[in-house]
Amino acid sequence: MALKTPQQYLDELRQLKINLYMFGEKVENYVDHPIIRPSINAMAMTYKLAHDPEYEDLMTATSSLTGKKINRFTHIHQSTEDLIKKVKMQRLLGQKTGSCFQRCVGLDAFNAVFSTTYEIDQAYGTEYHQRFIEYMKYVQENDLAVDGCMTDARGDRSKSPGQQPDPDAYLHVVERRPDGVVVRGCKLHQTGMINSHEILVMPNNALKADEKDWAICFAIPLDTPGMIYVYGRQSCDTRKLEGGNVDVGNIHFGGQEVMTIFNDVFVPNERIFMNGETDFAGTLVERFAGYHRQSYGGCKVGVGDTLIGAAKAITDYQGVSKASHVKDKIIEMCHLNETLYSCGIACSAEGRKTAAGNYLIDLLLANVCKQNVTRFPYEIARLAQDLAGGMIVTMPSEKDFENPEIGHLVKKYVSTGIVPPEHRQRMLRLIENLTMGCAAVGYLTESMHGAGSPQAQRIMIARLVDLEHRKELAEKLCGIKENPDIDWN
Amino acid sequence: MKLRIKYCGGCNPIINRSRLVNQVKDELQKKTNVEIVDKDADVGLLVGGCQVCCPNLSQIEDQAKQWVIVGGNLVDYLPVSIDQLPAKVAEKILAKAADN
Repeated sequence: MALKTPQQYLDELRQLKINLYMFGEKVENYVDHPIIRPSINAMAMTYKLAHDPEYEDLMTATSSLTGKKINRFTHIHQSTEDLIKKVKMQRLLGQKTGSCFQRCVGLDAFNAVFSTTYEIDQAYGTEYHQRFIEYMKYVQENDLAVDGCMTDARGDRSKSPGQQPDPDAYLHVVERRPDGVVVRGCKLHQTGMINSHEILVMPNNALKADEKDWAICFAIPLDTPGMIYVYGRQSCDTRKLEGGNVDVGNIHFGGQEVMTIFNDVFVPNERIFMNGETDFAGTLVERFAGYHRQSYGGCKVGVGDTLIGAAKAITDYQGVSKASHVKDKIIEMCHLNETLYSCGIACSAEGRKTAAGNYLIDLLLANVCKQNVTRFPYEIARLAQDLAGGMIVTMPSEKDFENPEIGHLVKKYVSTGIVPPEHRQRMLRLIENLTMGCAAVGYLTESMHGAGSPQAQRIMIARLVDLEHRKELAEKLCGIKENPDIDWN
Repeated sequence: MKLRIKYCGGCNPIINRSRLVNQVKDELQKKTNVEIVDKDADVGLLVGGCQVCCPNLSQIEDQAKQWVIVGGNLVDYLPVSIDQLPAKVAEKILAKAADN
Protein backbone atom coordinates (compact mmCIF):
# COMPACT_ATOMS: atom_id res chain seq x y z
CA MET A 1 0.00 0.00 0.00
CA ALA A 2 2.48 2.65 -1.13
CA LEU A 3 -0.27 5.18 -1.83
CA LYS A 4 -3.32 5.16 0.37
CA THR A 5 -6.71 6.28 -0.93
CA PRO A 6 -8.67 8.98 0.94
CA GLN A 7 -11.27 6.35 1.85
CA GLN A 8 -8.63 4.05 3.32
CA TYR A 9 -7.31 6.99 5.31
CA LEU A 10 -10.77 7.81 6.67
CA ASP A 11 -11.42 4.15 7.52
CA GLU A 12 -8.19 4.00 9.49
CA LEU A 13 -9.05 7.12 11.48
CA ARG A 14 -12.33 5.48 12.45
CA GLN A 15 -10.42 2.56 13.91
CA LEU A 16 -8.38 4.77 16.23
CA LYS A 17 -9.66 4.79 19.79
CA ILE A 18 -8.34 8.06 21.14
CA ASN A 19 -8.99 9.98 24.31
CA LEU A 20 -10.35 13.24 22.83
CA TYR A 21 -12.16 16.10 24.57
CA MET A 22 -13.96 19.13 23.18
CA PHE A 23 -16.19 21.66 24.95
CA GLY A 24 -15.62 19.75 28.18
CA GLU A 25 -16.94 16.48 26.86
CA LYS A 26 -15.38 13.30 25.53
CA VAL A 27 -15.79 12.89 21.77
CA GLU A 28 -16.37 9.34 20.55
CA ASN A 29 -16.93 9.58 16.79
CA TYR A 30 -14.64 12.44 15.89
CA VAL A 31 -14.37 11.60 12.19
CA ASP A 32 -17.98 12.67 11.60
CA HIS A 33 -18.03 15.55 14.08
CA PRO A 34 -19.08 18.68 12.15
CA ILE A 35 -16.43 20.85 13.82
CA ILE A 36 -13.61 18.36 13.20
CA ARG A 37 -14.54 16.86 9.83
CA PRO A 38 -13.47 19.85 7.66
CA SER A 39 -9.92 19.46 8.98
CA ILE A 40 -9.99 15.75 8.17
CA ASN A 41 -11.19 16.60 4.66
CA ALA A 42 -8.18 18.90 4.23
CA MET A 43 -5.79 16.14 5.26
CA ALA A 44 -7.65 13.66 3.03
CA MET A 45 -6.88 15.91 0.06
CA THR A 46 -3.17 15.08 0.51
CA TYR A 47 -4.11 11.44 -0.18
CA LYS A 48 -6.55 12.14 -3.00
CA LEU A 49 -4.33 14.31 -5.16
CA ALA A 50 -1.50 11.77 -5.03
CA HIS A 51 -3.67 9.43 -7.11
CA ASP A 52 -4.50 12.07 -9.71
CA PRO A 53 -2.24 12.05 -12.80
CA GLU A 54 -2.81 15.79 -13.02
CA TYR A 55 -1.03 16.32 -9.70
CA GLU A 56 1.17 13.27 -9.17
CA ASP A 57 4.36 15.00 -10.30
CA LEU A 58 4.15 17.20 -7.23
CA MET A 59 2.27 14.88 -4.90
CA THR A 60 4.45 11.79 -5.25
CA ALA A 61 8.14 10.95 -5.22
CA THR A 62 10.37 7.91 -5.50
CA SER A 63 11.50 6.69 -2.11
CA SER A 64 15.24 6.90 -1.50
CA LEU A 65 14.80 4.05 0.99
CA THR A 66 12.75 1.53 -0.99
CA GLY A 67 12.69 2.77 -4.59
CA LYS A 68 8.89 2.73 -4.49
CA LYS A 69 6.46 5.46 -5.47
CA ILE A 70 5.37 7.25 -2.31
CA ASN A 71 3.37 10.26 -1.22
CA ARG A 72 5.73 13.27 -1.17
CA PHE A 73 4.59 13.97 2.39
CA THR A 74 6.62 10.94 3.48
CA HIS A 75 9.67 11.70 1.32
CA ILE A 76 13.26 12.30 2.42
CA HIS A 77 14.37 15.14 0.13
CA GLN A 78 17.09 14.02 -2.29
CA SER A 79 17.78 17.26 -4.17
CA THR A 80 16.98 20.94 -4.37
CA GLU A 81 14.38 19.94 -6.95
CA ASP A 82 12.64 17.93 -4.23
CA LEU A 83 12.70 20.96 -1.94
CA ILE A 84 11.17 23.12 -4.67
CA LYS A 85 8.50 20.55 -5.47
CA LYS A 86 7.60 20.43 -1.80
CA VAL A 87 6.80 24.17 -1.84
CA LYS A 88 4.81 23.82 -5.05
CA MET A 89 2.87 20.90 -3.60
CA GLN A 90 2.02 23.02 -0.56
CA ARG A 91 0.83 25.89 -2.71
CA LEU A 92 -1.35 23.49 -4.65
CA LEU A 93 -2.93 22.11 -1.49
CA GLY A 94 -3.47 25.58 -0.06
CA GLN A 95 -5.36 26.42 -3.23
CA LYS A 96 -7.44 23.24 -3.10
CA THR A 97 -8.41 23.54 0.57
CA GLY A 98 -8.21 27.25 1.46
CA SER A 99 -6.94 26.11 4.82
CA CYS A 100 -4.11 24.40 6.64
CA PHE A 101 -3.94 20.81 5.38
CA GLN A 102 -1.77 19.82 8.36
CA ARG A 103 0.53 17.17 6.91
CA CYS A 104 3.63 19.37 6.49
CA VAL A 105 4.76 19.16 10.11
CA GLY A 106 5.39 15.45 9.71
CA LEU A 107 7.34 15.90 6.48
CA ASP A 108 9.46 18.60 8.06
CA ALA A 109 10.09 16.49 11.15
CA PHE A 110 11.11 13.46 9.04
CA ASN A 111 13.80 15.38 7.24
CA ALA A 112 15.10 17.13 10.36
CA VAL A 113 15.28 13.90 12.36
CA PHE A 114 16.84 12.03 9.42
CA SER A 115 19.92 14.27 9.21
CA THR A 116 20.22 14.89 12.96
CA THR A 117 20.15 11.21 13.93
CA TYR A 118 22.96 10.56 11.44
CA GLU A 119 25.08 13.24 13.06
CA ILE A 120 24.32 12.02 16.58
CA ASP A 121 25.47 8.55 15.56
CA GLN A 122 28.66 9.99 14.06
CA ALA A 123 29.41 11.76 17.33
CA TYR A 124 28.33 9.10 19.84
CA GLY A 125 28.32 5.76 18.04
CA THR A 126 24.58 5.35 18.65
CA GLU A 127 22.18 3.62 16.25
CA TYR A 128 19.39 6.15 15.99
CA HIS A 129 19.73 6.75 12.26
CA GLN A 130 19.23 3.15 11.18
CA ARG A 131 16.34 2.92 13.64
CA PHE A 132 14.82 6.02 12.07
CA ILE A 133 15.31 4.64 8.55
CA GLU A 134 13.34 1.54 9.56
CA TYR A 135 10.64 3.80 10.98
CA MET A 136 10.54 5.84 7.77
CA LYS A 137 10.16 2.67 5.68
CA TYR A 138 7.12 1.82 7.82
CA VAL A 139 5.72 5.33 7.35
CA GLN A 140 6.27 5.29 3.59
CA GLU A 141 4.99 1.76 3.07
CA ASN A 142 1.78 2.57 4.98
CA ASP A 143 1.48 6.16 3.71
CA LEU A 144 1.03 7.43 7.25
CA ALA A 145 0.12 10.93 8.36
CA VAL A 146 2.49 11.86 11.17
CA ASP A 147 2.25 14.86 13.46
CA GLY A 148 5.65 16.54 13.94
CA CYS A 149 5.37 17.52 17.57
CA MET A 150 7.62 20.20 19.07
CA THR A 151 6.12 23.08 21.07
CA ASP A 152 5.96 22.41 24.81
CA ALA A 153 3.74 24.11 27.39
CA ARG A 154 6.91 25.97 28.51
CA GLY A 155 5.67 27.39 31.82
CA ASP A 156 7.78 30.41 32.77
CA ARG A 157 9.41 31.48 29.50
CA SER A 158 12.35 33.05 31.33
CA LYS A 159 13.44 29.64 32.65
CA SER A 160 14.99 26.72 30.78
CA PRO A 161 13.35 23.28 30.97
CA GLY A 162 15.51 22.12 33.86
CA GLN A 163 14.80 25.28 35.88
CA GLN A 164 10.99 25.14 35.68
CA PRO A 165 9.11 24.85 39.00
CA ASP A 166 7.06 22.15 37.27
CA PRO A 167 9.44 19.92 35.27
CA ASP A 168 6.49 18.76 33.15
CA ALA A 169 6.34 22.22 31.54
CA TYR A 170 8.60 20.64 28.94
CA LEU A 171 8.02 17.03 27.91
CA HIS A 172 10.63 14.84 29.57
CA VAL A 173 11.60 11.34 30.60
CA VAL A 174 10.20 10.44 34.04
CA GLU A 175 11.23 6.80 34.09
CA ARG A 176 13.90 4.75 32.34
CA ARG A 177 13.30 1.04 31.80
CA PRO A 178 15.39 -1.62 30.02
CA ASP A 179 12.87 -1.70 27.16
CA GLY A 180 12.18 2.02 26.85
CA VAL A 181 11.24 5.22 28.65
CA VAL A 182 8.15 6.80 30.17
CA VAL A 183 7.51 10.44 29.23
CA ARG A 184 5.31 13.16 30.67
CA GLY A 185 4.44 16.63 29.42
CA CYS A 186 2.26 18.52 26.99
CA LYS A 187 2.74 19.72 23.44
CA LEU A 188 0.62 22.72 22.46
CA HIS A 189 -0.77 23.92 19.12
CA GLN A 190 -0.50 20.50 17.48
CA THR A 191 -1.67 20.99 13.93
CA GLY A 192 -3.61 18.05 12.55
CA MET A 193 -2.79 15.92 15.56
CA ILE A 194 -5.91 13.78 15.69
CA ASN A 195 -5.97 13.49 11.89
CA SER A 196 -2.64 11.67 12.06
CA HIS A 197 -1.71 8.03 12.56
CA GLU A 198 1.47 8.71 14.50
CA ILE A 199 3.23 11.38 16.54
CA LEU A 200 6.91 12.22 16.06
CA VAL A 201 8.04 14.10 19.16
CA MET A 202 11.08 16.41 19.23
CA PRO A 203 12.57 18.64 21.93
CA ASN A 204 11.32 22.22 22.04
CA ASN A 205 14.67 24.04 22.14
CA ALA A 206 18.44 23.89 22.63
CA LEU A 207 19.28 22.27 25.96
CA LYS A 208 21.97 22.47 28.62
CA ALA A 209 24.21 19.50 29.34
CA ASP A 210 22.34 18.67 32.57
CA GLU A 211 18.93 18.64 30.82
CA LYS A 212 19.27 15.14 29.38
CA ASP A 213 15.76 14.07 30.38
CA TRP A 214 14.35 16.71 28.04
CA ALA A 215 16.55 15.65 25.11
CA ILE A 216 14.14 13.02 23.84
CA CYS A 217 12.90 12.33 20.32
CA PHE A 218 10.54 9.45 19.58
CA ALA A 219 7.50 8.26 17.63
CA ILE A 220 4.35 6.60 18.94
CA PRO A 221 0.93 5.72 17.51
CA LEU A 222 -1.85 8.21 18.21
CA ASP A 223 -3.78 5.75 20.37
CA THR A 224 -0.92 4.94 22.72
CA PRO A 225 -2.13 4.55 26.35
CA GLY A 226 -1.71 7.72 28.37
CA MET A 227 -2.34 10.12 25.49
CA ILE A 228 -5.02 12.79 26.03
CA TYR A 229 -6.14 15.20 23.31
CA VAL A 230 -8.04 18.44 23.91
CA TYR A 231 -9.41 20.09 20.77
CA GLY A 232 -8.52 23.75 20.35
CA ARG A 233 -11.49 25.95 19.56
CA GLN A 234 -11.42 28.46 16.75
CA SER A 235 -13.14 31.72 16.03
CA CYS A 236 -16.71 31.05 14.79
CA ASP A 237 -16.26 27.26 15.21
CA THR A 238 -19.82 26.63 16.40
CA ARG A 239 -21.21 27.91 13.12
CA LYS A 240 -20.38 24.41 11.91
CA LEU A 241 -23.05 23.11 14.31
CA GLU A 242 -25.79 25.34 12.88
CA GLY A 243 -26.67 23.01 10.04
CA GLY A 244 -26.27 25.45 7.14
CA ASN A 245 -23.47 25.64 4.61
CA VAL A 246 -23.14 29.35 3.85
CA ASP A 247 -22.13 31.06 7.09
CA VAL A 248 -19.16 28.71 7.60
CA GLY A 249 -17.50 30.36 4.59
CA ASN A 250 -15.34 27.43 3.53
CA ILE A 251 -17.94 24.70 3.32
CA HIS A 252 -15.64 21.65 3.10
CA PHE A 253 -12.25 22.38 4.66
CA GLY A 254 -10.57 23.72 7.78
CA GLY A 255 -7.56 23.44 10.05
CA GLN A 256 -7.06 21.88 13.45
CA GLU A 257 -4.92 22.53 16.54
CA VAL A 258 -4.89 20.22 19.53
CA MET A 259 -3.49 20.39 23.05
CA THR A 260 -1.68 17.07 23.36
CA ILE A 261 -1.01 15.67 26.81
CA PHE A 262 1.47 12.86 27.43
CA ASN A 263 0.32 11.52 30.77
CA ASP A 264 3.07 8.99 31.60
CA VAL A 265 3.38 7.42 28.17
CA PHE A 266 5.66 4.45 27.50
CA VAL A 267 7.95 4.64 24.48
CA PRO A 268 9.77 1.45 23.42
CA ASN A 269 13.49 1.64 22.61
CA GLU A 270 12.99 0.92 18.91
CA ARG A 271 10.96 4.13 18.60
CA ILE A 272 13.51 6.41 20.32
CA PHE A 273 15.68 8.58 18.04
CA MET A 274 17.43 10.79 20.60
CA ASN A 275 17.83 10.10 24.28
CA GLY A 276 19.95 12.48 26.27
CA GLU A 277 22.17 13.92 23.53
CA THR A 278 21.52 17.49 24.63
CA ASP A 279 24.12 18.98 22.28
CA PHE A 280 22.02 17.93 19.28
CA ALA A 281 18.67 19.24 20.53
CA GLY A 282 19.38 22.70 19.10
CA THR A 283 20.37 21.26 15.72
CA LEU A 284 17.15 19.26 15.50
CA VAL A 285 15.01 22.24 16.47
CA GLU A 286 16.82 24.56 14.07
CA ARG A 287 16.39 22.17 11.15
CA PHE A 288 12.73 21.38 11.86
CA ALA A 289 11.99 25.09 12.24
CA GLY A 290 13.93 25.82 9.04
CA TYR A 291 11.96 23.30 7.01
CA HIS A 292 8.71 24.53 8.48
CA ARG A 293 9.59 28.15 7.74
CA GLN A 294 10.14 27.07 4.15
CA SER A 295 6.73 25.35 4.18
CA TYR A 296 4.95 28.62 4.85
CA GLY A 297 6.35 29.95 1.57
CA GLY A 298 4.09 27.38 -0.09
CA CYS A 299 0.98 26.68 1.98
CA LYS A 300 0.16 30.27 2.96
CA VAL A 301 0.70 31.32 -0.65
CA GLY A 302 -1.87 28.77 -1.79
CA VAL A 303 -4.39 30.02 0.77
CA GLY A 304 -3.47 33.56 -0.28
CA ASP A 305 -4.38 32.62 -3.84
CA THR A 306 -7.89 31.73 -2.66
CA LEU A 307 -8.22 35.02 -0.77
CA ILE A 308 -7.04 37.00 -3.79
CA GLY A 309 -9.58 35.08 -5.86
CA ALA A 310 -12.28 35.92 -3.34
CA ALA A 311 -11.31 39.59 -3.39
CA LYS A 312 -11.41 39.65 -7.18
CA ALA A 313 -14.79 37.90 -7.18
CA ILE A 314 -16.42 40.19 -4.62
CA THR A 315 -15.28 43.31 -6.48
CA ASP A 316 -16.80 41.86 -9.65
CA TYR A 317 -20.02 40.98 -7.79
CA GLN A 318 -20.24 44.46 -6.26
CA GLY A 319 -19.51 46.32 -9.48
CA VAL A 320 -16.27 48.00 -8.44
CA SER A 321 -13.67 45.89 -10.21
CA LYS A 322 -12.92 48.51 -12.86
CA ALA A 323 -11.94 51.21 -10.38
CA SER A 324 -8.19 51.82 -10.62
CA HIS A 325 -7.59 51.71 -6.86
CA VAL A 326 -9.40 48.38 -6.67
CA LYS A 327 -7.22 46.93 -9.42
CA ASP A 328 -4.16 48.31 -7.68
CA LYS A 329 -5.10 46.74 -4.37
CA ILE A 330 -5.51 43.34 -6.00
CA ILE A 331 -2.13 43.77 -7.71
CA GLU A 332 -0.62 44.59 -4.32
CA MET A 333 -2.14 41.42 -2.85
CA CYS A 334 -0.61 39.41 -5.70
CA HIS A 335 2.76 41.13 -5.28
CA LEU A 336 2.86 40.28 -1.58
CA ASN A 337 1.72 36.72 -2.15
CA GLU A 338 4.25 36.06 -4.92
CA THR A 339 7.00 37.57 -2.77
CA LEU A 340 6.27 34.91 -0.15
CA TYR A 341 6.41 32.25 -2.87
CA SER A 342 9.71 33.65 -4.12
CA CYS A 343 11.16 33.21 -0.64
CA GLY A 344 9.89 29.64 -0.43
CA ILE A 345 11.42 28.80 -3.80
CA ALA A 346 14.66 30.65 -3.05
CA CYS A 347 15.41 28.87 0.21
CA SER A 348 14.71 25.59 -1.59
CA ALA A 349 16.86 26.34 -4.64
CA GLU A 350 19.68 27.32 -2.30
CA GLY A 351 19.33 24.11 -0.29
CA ARG A 352 22.27 21.86 0.43
CA LYS A 353 23.12 18.25 1.03
CA THR A 354 23.54 17.10 4.62
CA ALA A 355 26.02 14.54 5.90
CA ALA A 356 23.15 12.03 5.98
CA GLY A 357 22.51 12.64 2.28
CA ASN A 358 19.15 14.37 2.38
CA TYR A 359 18.70 18.03 1.48
CA LEU A 360 18.25 20.93 3.86
CA ILE A 361 16.88 24.35 2.90
CA ASP A 362 19.04 27.47 3.16
CA LEU A 363 18.34 28.42 6.75
CA LEU A 364 18.86 32.16 6.32
CA LEU A 365 16.46 32.41 3.39
CA ALA A 366 13.93 30.14 5.12
CA ASN A 367 13.95 32.47 8.10
CA VAL A 368 13.56 35.49 5.83
CA CYS A 369 10.66 33.66 4.18
CA LYS A 370 8.89 33.08 7.48
CA GLN A 371 9.59 36.62 8.69
CA ASN A 372 7.72 37.91 5.65
CA VAL A 373 4.95 35.39 6.32
CA THR A 374 4.45 36.95 9.77
CA ARG A 375 3.49 40.18 7.99
CA PHE A 376 2.26 39.83 4.42
CA PRO A 377 -0.84 37.66 4.98
CA TYR A 378 -2.09 40.30 7.43
CA GLU A 379 -1.71 42.98 4.75
CA ILE A 380 -3.33 40.73 2.15
CA ALA A 381 -6.20 40.13 4.58
CA ARG A 382 -6.49 43.86 5.30
CA LEU A 383 -6.75 44.60 1.60
CA ALA A 384 -9.34 41.85 1.15
CA GLN A 385 -11.45 43.37 3.92
CA ASP A 386 -10.99 46.81 2.38
CA LEU A 387 -12.24 45.53 -0.97
CA ALA A 388 -15.08 43.45 0.52
CA GLY A 389 -16.62 46.34 2.44
CA GLY A 390 -18.27 46.36 5.83
CA MET A 391 -20.84 43.79 4.77
CA ILE A 392 -18.47 40.97 5.76
CA VAL A 393 -19.18 41.78 9.41
CA THR A 394 -22.75 43.08 9.26
CA MET A 395 -24.47 40.68 6.89
CA PRO A 396 -27.47 38.82 8.36
CA SER A 397 -27.19 35.11 9.00
CA GLU A 398 -27.95 32.37 6.52
CA LYS A 399 -31.19 31.66 8.38
CA ASP A 400 -32.40 35.22 7.86
CA PHE A 401 -31.93 34.77 4.12
CA GLU A 402 -34.20 31.74 4.29
CA ASN A 403 -36.81 33.20 6.66
CA PRO A 404 -40.28 33.10 5.04
CA GLU A 405 -41.25 36.56 6.34
CA ILE A 406 -38.09 38.60 5.74
CA GLY A 407 -35.90 36.43 3.49
CA HIS A 408 -37.04 38.09 0.28
CA LEU A 409 -36.30 41.52 1.74
CA VAL A 410 -32.84 40.50 2.97
CA LYS A 411 -32.02 39.13 -0.48
CA LYS A 412 -33.40 42.24 -2.17
CA TYR A 413 -31.14 44.53 -0.19
CA VAL A 414 -28.08 42.30 -0.43
CA SER A 415 -28.53 42.00 -4.18
CA THR A 416 -26.28 44.06 -6.44
CA GLY A 417 -28.15 42.99 -9.55
CA ILE A 418 -24.92 41.58 -10.97
CA VAL A 419 -24.95 38.08 -9.45
CA PRO A 420 -27.54 36.21 -7.37
CA PRO A 421 -27.55 37.49 -3.75
CA GLU A 422 -26.40 34.07 -2.56
CA HIS A 423 -23.15 34.41 -4.53
CA ARG A 424 -22.32 37.67 -2.80
CA GLN A 425 -23.37 36.14 0.53
CA ARG A 426 -21.12 33.10 0.06
CA MET A 427 -18.10 35.07 -1.13
CA LEU A 428 -18.33 37.53 1.76
CA ARG A 429 -18.51 34.62 4.20
CA LEU A 430 -15.43 33.06 2.62
CA ILE A 431 -13.50 36.32 3.07
CA GLU A 432 -14.75 36.50 6.64
CA ASN A 433 -13.68 32.88 7.19
CA LEU A 434 -10.17 33.54 5.89
CA THR A 435 -9.57 36.87 7.60
CA MET A 436 -11.34 36.56 10.94
CA GLY A 437 -13.13 33.20 11.09
CA CYS A 438 -11.94 29.62 11.44
CA ALA A 439 -9.41 29.82 8.61
CA ALA A 440 -7.80 32.95 10.05
CA VAL A 441 -6.33 30.66 12.69
CA GLY A 442 -4.22 29.12 9.95
CA TYR A 443 -3.87 32.04 7.57
CA LEU A 444 -3.10 34.79 10.07
CA THR A 445 -2.19 33.71 13.60
CA GLU A 446 -0.42 30.57 12.44
CA SER A 447 1.48 32.78 9.99
CA MET A 448 2.54 34.87 12.97
CA HIS A 449 3.44 32.16 15.47
CA GLY A 450 3.60 28.85 13.62
CA ALA A 451 7.15 27.56 13.04
CA GLY A 452 8.28 30.16 15.56
CA SER A 453 7.18 33.69 16.39
CA PRO A 454 8.71 36.65 14.51
CA GLN A 455 11.51 37.22 17.00
CA ALA A 456 12.73 33.63 16.56
CA GLN A 457 13.42 34.35 12.89
CA ARG A 458 15.16 37.63 13.68
CA ILE A 459 17.49 35.83 16.08
CA MET A 460 18.34 33.34 13.34
CA ILE A 461 18.83 36.08 10.75
CA ALA A 462 21.21 37.86 13.13
CA ARG A 463 23.13 34.62 13.61
CA LEU A 464 23.34 33.72 9.94
CA VAL A 465 24.25 37.06 8.35
CA ASP A 466 27.94 38.03 8.37
CA LEU A 467 27.76 41.73 9.18
CA GLU A 468 31.55 42.12 9.44
CA HIS A 469 31.83 41.01 5.82
CA ARG A 470 29.35 43.67 4.81
CA LYS A 471 31.17 46.29 6.90
CA GLU A 472 34.40 45.42 5.13
CA LEU A 473 32.72 45.80 1.73
CA ALA A 474 31.74 49.36 2.67
CA GLU A 475 35.15 50.17 4.15
CA LYS A 476 36.86 49.07 0.94
CA LEU A 477 34.56 51.17 -1.22
CA CYS A 478 35.09 54.40 0.67
CA GLY A 479 38.83 54.01 1.11
CA ILE A 480 39.07 53.15 4.80
CA LYS A 481 40.49 49.74 3.95
CA GLU A 482 42.89 48.84 1.19
CA ASN A 483 41.11 47.25 -1.77
CA PRO A 484 43.32 44.72 -3.54
CA ASP A 485 40.59 44.19 -6.13
CA ILE A 486 41.68 47.50 -7.72
CA ASP A 487 44.74 46.11 -9.37
CA TRP A 488 44.30 45.79 -13.11
CA ASN A 489 47.81 44.41 -13.78
CA MET B 1 50.87 15.97 -2.67
CA LYS B 2 49.04 17.41 -5.64
CA LEU B 3 46.15 19.60 -4.55
CA ARG B 4 43.37 21.01 -6.75
CA ILE B 5 41.63 24.05 -5.31
CA LYS B 6 38.24 25.15 -6.62
CA TYR B 7 36.43 28.18 -5.21
CA CYS B 8 32.75 29.03 -5.40
CA GLY B 9 31.93 32.39 -6.94
CA GLY B 10 31.93 34.15 -3.57
CA CYS B 11 28.63 36.04 -3.66
CA ASN B 12 27.72 35.82 0.02
CA PRO B 13 30.54 34.24 2.02
CA ILE B 14 30.45 33.64 5.75
CA ILE B 15 34.14 32.68 5.74
CA ASN B 16 37.20 34.31 4.19
CA ARG B 17 37.92 31.74 1.50
CA SER B 18 41.38 32.82 0.39
CA ARG B 19 42.55 33.20 3.98
CA LEU B 20 41.28 29.71 4.75
CA VAL B 21 43.11 28.26 1.76
CA ASN B 22 46.36 29.94 2.80
CA GLN B 23 45.97 28.63 6.33
CA VAL B 24 45.24 25.13 5.05
CA LYS B 25 48.32 25.23 2.80
CA ASP B 26 50.43 26.32 5.79
CA GLU B 27 49.05 23.42 7.82
CA LEU B 28 49.71 20.92 5.04
CA GLN B 29 53.22 22.12 4.40
CA LYS B 30 54.14 21.25 7.97
CA LYS B 31 53.51 17.61 7.00
CA THR B 32 54.19 17.30 3.26
CA ASN B 33 55.10 19.17 0.09
CA VAL B 34 52.08 20.66 -1.64
CA GLU B 35 51.82 21.28 -5.35
CA ILE B 36 48.76 23.18 -6.58
CA VAL B 37 47.51 21.68 -9.84
CA ASP B 38 44.52 22.04 -12.17
CA LYS B 39 44.01 18.31 -12.80
CA ASP B 40 45.29 14.86 -11.83
CA ALA B 41 45.31 15.90 -8.18
CA ASP B 42 45.53 13.54 -5.23
CA VAL B 43 42.91 15.57 -3.42
CA GLY B 44 40.58 18.37 -4.46
CA LEU B 45 39.46 21.13 -2.11
CA LEU B 46 36.12 22.71 -2.97
CA VAL B 47 35.80 25.98 -1.06
CA GLY B 48 32.30 27.38 -0.79
CA GLY B 49 31.86 30.63 1.09
CA CYS B 50 28.51 29.62 2.56
CA GLN B 51 26.76 26.36 3.41
CA VAL B 52 25.09 26.17 0.00
CA CYS B 53 28.49 25.49 -1.63
CA CYS B 54 26.97 25.88 -5.08
CA PRO B 55 29.72 24.80 -7.54
CA ASN B 56 28.68 21.71 -9.47
CA LEU B 57 31.15 19.10 -8.27
CA SER B 58 30.20 16.62 -10.97
CA GLN B 59 31.73 18.95 -13.59
CA ILE B 60 35.17 18.92 -11.93
CA GLU B 61 35.12 15.71 -9.96
CA ASP B 62 37.57 13.93 -12.31
CA GLN B 63 40.24 16.54 -11.64
CA ALA B 64 41.08 14.92 -8.28
CA LYS B 65 40.92 11.40 -6.88
CA GLN B 66 38.99 12.55 -3.82
CA TRP B 67 37.45 15.81 -2.69
CA VAL B 68 37.10 17.68 0.57
CA ILE B 69 34.06 19.94 0.50
CA VAL B 70 33.94 23.13 2.54
CA GLY B 71 30.69 25.10 2.67
CA GLY B 72 30.98 27.97 5.12
CA ASN B 73 31.54 26.29 8.46
CA LEU B 74 30.74 22.81 7.12
CA VAL B 75 33.48 20.35 6.21
CA ASP B 76 32.13 17.39 4.26
CA TYR B 77 28.66 18.52 5.40
CA LEU B 78 29.40 18.44 9.15
CA PRO B 79 29.71 21.64 11.21
CA VAL B 80 33.10 22.79 12.47
CA SER B 81 33.80 25.91 14.52
CA ILE B 82 35.33 28.64 12.34
CA ASP B 83 38.60 28.77 14.31
CA GLN B 84 39.05 25.03 13.84
CA LEU B 85 38.40 25.10 10.09
CA PRO B 86 42.00 25.23 8.77
CA ALA B 87 43.20 22.36 10.95
CA LYS B 88 40.10 20.26 10.23
CA VAL B 89 40.32 20.80 6.48
CA ALA B 90 44.03 19.98 6.43
CA GLU B 91 43.38 16.85 8.49
CA LYS B 92 40.69 15.74 6.03
CA ILE B 93 42.95 16.38 3.04
CA LEU B 94 45.79 14.37 4.54
CA ALA B 95 43.44 11.52 5.45
CA LYS B 96 42.02 11.36 1.93
CA ALA B 97 45.50 11.56 0.39
CA ALA B 98 46.53 8.63 2.55
CA ASP B 99 43.49 6.68 1.32
CA ASN B 100 44.59 6.93 -2.32
